[in-house]
Amino acid sequence: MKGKMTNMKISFLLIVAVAALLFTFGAPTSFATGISLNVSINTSGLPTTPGSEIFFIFTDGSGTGDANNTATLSAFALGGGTVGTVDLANTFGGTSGDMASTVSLTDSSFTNVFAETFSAGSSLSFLLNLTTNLDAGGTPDQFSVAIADPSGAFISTLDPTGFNNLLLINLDSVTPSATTYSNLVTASLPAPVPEPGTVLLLGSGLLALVGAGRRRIFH
Amino acid sequence: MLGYSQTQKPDGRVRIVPKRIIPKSADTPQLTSTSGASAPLCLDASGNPGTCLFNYYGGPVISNIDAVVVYWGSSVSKVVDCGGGLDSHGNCIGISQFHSAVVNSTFIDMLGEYNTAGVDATAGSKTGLPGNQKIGRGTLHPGSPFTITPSAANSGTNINDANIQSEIQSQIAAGHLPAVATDGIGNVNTIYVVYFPPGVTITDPNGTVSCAAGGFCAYHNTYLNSSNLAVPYGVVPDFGPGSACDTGCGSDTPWQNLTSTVSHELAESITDTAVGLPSASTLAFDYPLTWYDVNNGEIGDPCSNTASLQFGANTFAVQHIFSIKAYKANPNAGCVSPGIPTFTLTAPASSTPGSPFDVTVTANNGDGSTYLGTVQFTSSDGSAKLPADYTFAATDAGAHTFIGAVTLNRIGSDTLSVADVNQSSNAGSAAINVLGSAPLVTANPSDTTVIAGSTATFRAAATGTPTPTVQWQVSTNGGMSFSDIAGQTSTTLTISSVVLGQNGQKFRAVFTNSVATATTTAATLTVNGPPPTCATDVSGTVTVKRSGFSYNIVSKRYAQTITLKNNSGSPIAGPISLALDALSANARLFNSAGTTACAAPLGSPYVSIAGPLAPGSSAFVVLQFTDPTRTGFSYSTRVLAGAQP
Repeated sequence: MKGKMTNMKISFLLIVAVAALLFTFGAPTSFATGISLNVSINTSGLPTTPGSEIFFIFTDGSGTGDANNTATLSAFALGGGTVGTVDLANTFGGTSGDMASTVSLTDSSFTNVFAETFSAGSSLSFLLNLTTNLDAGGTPDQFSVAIADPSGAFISTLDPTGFNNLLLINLDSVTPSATTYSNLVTASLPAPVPEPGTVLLLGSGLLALVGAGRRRIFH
Repeated sequence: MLGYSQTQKPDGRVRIVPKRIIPKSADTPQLTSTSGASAPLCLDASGNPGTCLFNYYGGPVISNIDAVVVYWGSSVSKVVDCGGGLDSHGNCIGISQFHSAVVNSTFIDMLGEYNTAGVDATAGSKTGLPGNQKIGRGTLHPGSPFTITPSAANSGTNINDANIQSEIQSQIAAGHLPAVATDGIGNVNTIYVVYFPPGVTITDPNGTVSCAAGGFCAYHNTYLNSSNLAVPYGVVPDFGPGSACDTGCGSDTPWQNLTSTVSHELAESITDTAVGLPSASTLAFDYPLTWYDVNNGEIGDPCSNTASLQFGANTFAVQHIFSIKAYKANPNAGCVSPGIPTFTLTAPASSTPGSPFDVTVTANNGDGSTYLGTVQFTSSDGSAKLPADYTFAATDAGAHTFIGAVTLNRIGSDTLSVADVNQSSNAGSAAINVLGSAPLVTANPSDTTVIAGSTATFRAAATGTPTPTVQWQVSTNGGMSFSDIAGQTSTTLTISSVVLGQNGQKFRAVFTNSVATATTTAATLTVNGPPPTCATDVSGTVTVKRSGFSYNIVSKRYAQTITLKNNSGSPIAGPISLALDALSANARLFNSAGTTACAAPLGSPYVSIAGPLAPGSSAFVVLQFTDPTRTGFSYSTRVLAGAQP
């Protein structure tokens, strides 16, 4: 991808909405701290031939593989493209699943990588649900996404590490920031699906979320 | 008595030397029978052959003779003034040289048996009282000969003993002759030996005259001076041609007859110093006589033969002297010659150059007397350190050890010798193998690095015999040439306040002994500037925020973004370094700019961050790691400000 890209940093204040829900309905014991994010990647610049490959990488900040966070990716849509196969040679650690359904990564190892090939369509989108438990020691868990074309060349991004990550989330707070390094990537909050009877207060929470998002997303 | 003119006058105590008108022969042996043809050594009271009966009467001896040679006027004969001719240097060998030799020779040593110290008087009124003097060598009085001009009253061709005594005392009083010297206990050492010119006839206290038949060849006498000192003197008439003493007082040359006669008088003056003084009692033979035989006189009287005394380049004739000790051992050999010293030198068989060692010299006069002469050392090693000339004392008893007094320096077989400094002697010698070894360097100086202004030290060592000396050298041209460093002669070279200009100089030590020289290898001096100022740890004012680890599936590296924020109110000047301490062993900081080498802990990898960092502002840096195990790693951070992390 040689096109001009912009660097967009997206912040989510889902906690605001969650807090509003908790304030209104009380905290359900099964509710885990986390974020959800709709991610869409423009893959129209990729060859449509098979062999493009997406990498989901989840590292454990504690370095011990404490398995305290999980990234669940679902609702994959390839914009006319097709899912290939899991690249077992480059898939290791606490990973499972398939883009045909759901992919899961847990930081049960220091390094956890899921790789799967695909034939590019116009875009590749998915829903990311990510727990946000904090690690001790100052180094957070990190989730990142990168794509290589069928030749093995990564889509070039503005990732300062030089690793051409398209999307990167450091789980350094319960409301972590998601950072995109290419204008080929958009990340947005999924539409909320409130339970009946909670509409009133949820609505006020969403209003706050939108307002906050406008302040904090894309800055 | 066979030509002896021997008159014993107890009241005058004048002993007259035998007028040796008989031909030179062996000393008269003791008769073994009354009908024997040979003359007896000693006679009895009746004048028949008898036994020598020398006794100590309690009188003084001369401890260390101070011989003053006196010329009675300026016309003494050539026999006296240059009787021995000229030596190899053209100097006159006269009677003064003879005195100088004979009083400092074994002729005196052999008189040692007449010491009185601790010896009881065996005859006369002082029987049983021990004496207190030892006889040692003496000297010729400096300035000898002293030529005096007799007063008119004492002048003329016929003078007597009274004239002589008077003139000697007058000349002493006038300062024309040296004053009387005494030994440590007040007895007189000085004797005035007066030599007369031709044409003067002397009448002794007995009324006999000089050089005449029935007269005397010489005599010694004593007077009591105003200080009650018994002052001995000798009277020697002319021995020149036509004097009758020239041929009548011996059968050798006039010079030899003269010295032989004088030696006789000297020996008797030393052992019977106060013979001329009145007796202390009514006894005919009494104190102050010293050593005396009532029938035969003094110790020179029984003997007539002469011996040779080699002294320096000269040979002098001296008379045999009676020895009680020899006589007791062999009554036919009571007259003895002065001994010839034989030296034995005891020294170690080997030594090392420059190392002092002891030597012992044993002197044997050969006649049983104790050697009291002066020895001198010589060596085949021209660089040897030898003892100074040494005069044996009576307490040495003929043996003296020179402690650490000899040092030989020449490697190889050297000879050390010792002999009498003046008198002919049998030298003692010892062969000493001087062992040595070339210097062997055992420690070379080491290259040294110092900070300018500090002190540099080099050390070197070497073995060798003798112990090598050391000289440090410096090269300022990379070792092409070296020059000595003045004053640096110890095995440690210390250079104070080293300057940068000395950087690269080379130093070496040169060890030298008498065998050879050895040089160390050269050591290089490296001089560095002042130590750098290490970067300052500013971790306390900087917040370090770590991102999570990114992983690159291709490079297999991990990346981590670090954000630094200056929380202080002051800017942090660059360069800024982020050091990773205690990084897990399985990981490596791939993009490290180096490791800490100044700010401890050392060896920690670090990355550089451009500064300065303003108050409240942040900067970030990406760390890249490798971790082949993919098992994770950890580290702690340290933020350093300054050029030397």
